[in-house]
Amino acid sequence: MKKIFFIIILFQLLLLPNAYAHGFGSKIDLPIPGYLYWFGGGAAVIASFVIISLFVKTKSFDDSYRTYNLRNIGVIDSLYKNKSLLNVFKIISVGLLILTILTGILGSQFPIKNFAPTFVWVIWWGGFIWLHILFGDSWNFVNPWKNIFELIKFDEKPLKKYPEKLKSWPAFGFFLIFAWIELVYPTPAYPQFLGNIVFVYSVIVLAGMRVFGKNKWLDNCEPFTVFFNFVSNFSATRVTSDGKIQLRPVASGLLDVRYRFDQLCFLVLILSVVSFDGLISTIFWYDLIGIDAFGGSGRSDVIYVNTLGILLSFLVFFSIFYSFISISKIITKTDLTVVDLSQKFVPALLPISIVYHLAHYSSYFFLNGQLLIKLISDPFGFGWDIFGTSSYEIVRTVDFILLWNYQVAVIVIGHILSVYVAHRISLRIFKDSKKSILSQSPILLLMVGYTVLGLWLLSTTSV
Amino acid sequence: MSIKNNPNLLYATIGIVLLAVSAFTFVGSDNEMVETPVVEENIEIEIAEEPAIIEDKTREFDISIVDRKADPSIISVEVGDQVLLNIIADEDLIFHIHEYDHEITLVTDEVKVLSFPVMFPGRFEIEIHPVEHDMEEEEEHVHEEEEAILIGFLEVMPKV
Repeated sequence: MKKIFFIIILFQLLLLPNAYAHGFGSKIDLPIPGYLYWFGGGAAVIASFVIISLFVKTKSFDDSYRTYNLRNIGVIDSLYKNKSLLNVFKIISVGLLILTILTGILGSQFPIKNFAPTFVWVIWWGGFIWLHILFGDSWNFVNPWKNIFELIKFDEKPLKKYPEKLKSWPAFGFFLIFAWIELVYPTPAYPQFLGNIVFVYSVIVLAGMRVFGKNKWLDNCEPFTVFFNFVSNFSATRVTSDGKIQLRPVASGLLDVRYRFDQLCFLVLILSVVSFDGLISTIFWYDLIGIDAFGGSGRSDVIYVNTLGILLSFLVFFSIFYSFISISKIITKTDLTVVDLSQKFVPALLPISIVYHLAHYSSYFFLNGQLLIKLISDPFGFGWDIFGTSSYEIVRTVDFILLWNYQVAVIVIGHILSVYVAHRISLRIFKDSKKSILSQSPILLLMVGYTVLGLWLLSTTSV
Repeated sequence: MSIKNNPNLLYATIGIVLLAVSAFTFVGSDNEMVETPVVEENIEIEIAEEPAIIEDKTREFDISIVDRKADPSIISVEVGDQVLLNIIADEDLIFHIHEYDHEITLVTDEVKVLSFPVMFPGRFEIEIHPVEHDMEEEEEHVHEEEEAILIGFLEVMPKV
């Protein structure tokens, strides 16, 4: 008993120093230099005004954008028609889920020697988002729970009717719990914890799909389906219901969506969680909560204050967004309610949030993602060498000049996309260029603020 | 309104991208211009024959660890520097720098020297591990105290 206790303590201690900002892994990012911070902020402001001034005289509004059906290209068409390729991906996804659970529970409990933490936190959570930006809603195809459900051929007829008044609030709740585990829970990378929680969650999802119907559960209660669905609106491709693979301008999908109030809240939750992730490791945050960053404190010392913080950050983001939209309503004297306007405008904020996520996670993904090369040869940490890659030497040299420029560039591009989307949305609402520009000015300010927050988080000193 | 019937949007986008590229280049070269000319002049006049001395940049730091807090807590150097740390602590500790994995055992009130070249840039955690002497006697207490305490960072800036 004493020995087990010792082992647990030891593993937790080994974990703590490295597992500070994210679910898992070390982060060696240098803050971006001041001149890039000012440049990025300046570019965001200038870009906002340039875009607006270009549209000042616009009289017409037109909601369409150019698309191209990728199935006109022979190779893509035959790949798309070939269902066996898709089935291979589906089987791989189920295999990876089972491997994650097994390695987590049975494998070495040293996080970097175990497949589960690297796969869940670095590859899936940190890197999978790229696939959504490039190829659209990939999660829809590789969602392992959905695939298990289909492979086992569970009865699709629901046992109970889903209580419609819950809308997608269960997904909101699950996403909050997930974010809490990633950012606040003391040992998110402890393999046994991870294996267990993935297993428990799998049971919940499968049971939920059986009871309330597959799609009802996925669309309303499965947070990752909801999350990746939001992200895929940003993507350059989309599979339409009539089987076309559309290539479209990046972020144009955000013009097509109509969100309900619960979805608005989920989106604001994404915006706030992404920023809170950056905030909790800054020296600024430590000073604010009155804890010495270099005083030997671990995640367990800040568990309550950060739990409060994650909830507060949602409320703060929501109220800031709400008040800026209120100003917009007042100055345009529109009949639409503030909630109505909020629901219409909120998609425009998504690009800024996504690009911050990309900027924030890139070197983390590059460095810690390399662990997977070692781990595929020895997923349980038992000393195997299946593919001969277990002695792979991790490349630690990061070109920071390139990284900084990339970070600022994606943030400025994201900002431009956001401003553009907001402009299109406001034209659609007001159908009058003068009013639409009036309505946008508070939203523009909000966007500049949100972009500068992202830049500031990247440039400030963090632990 | 699309790019098709509003070429201005296209021009504006290209303009912003060009602006961004030129600003990056400008700011980058600006920094070099501030520093290099002065050094170059010195090299040419006085030490041109011994460039090795100029390249060997040893950066020395005195670190004191009191009450498990380091002063200074952030050590900022540049890639290619030779770092020389004179470390003194008020208790027995293991001093450890992450990723570089340099480690040195400190003895109470004794200055220990840790010297190494820095090759790759980044922010690396500096930790201390308290050393316990009476490990066999009080096992349970030992494990609770056997911890890694973050005391600062080694900040290795890339060469511009």
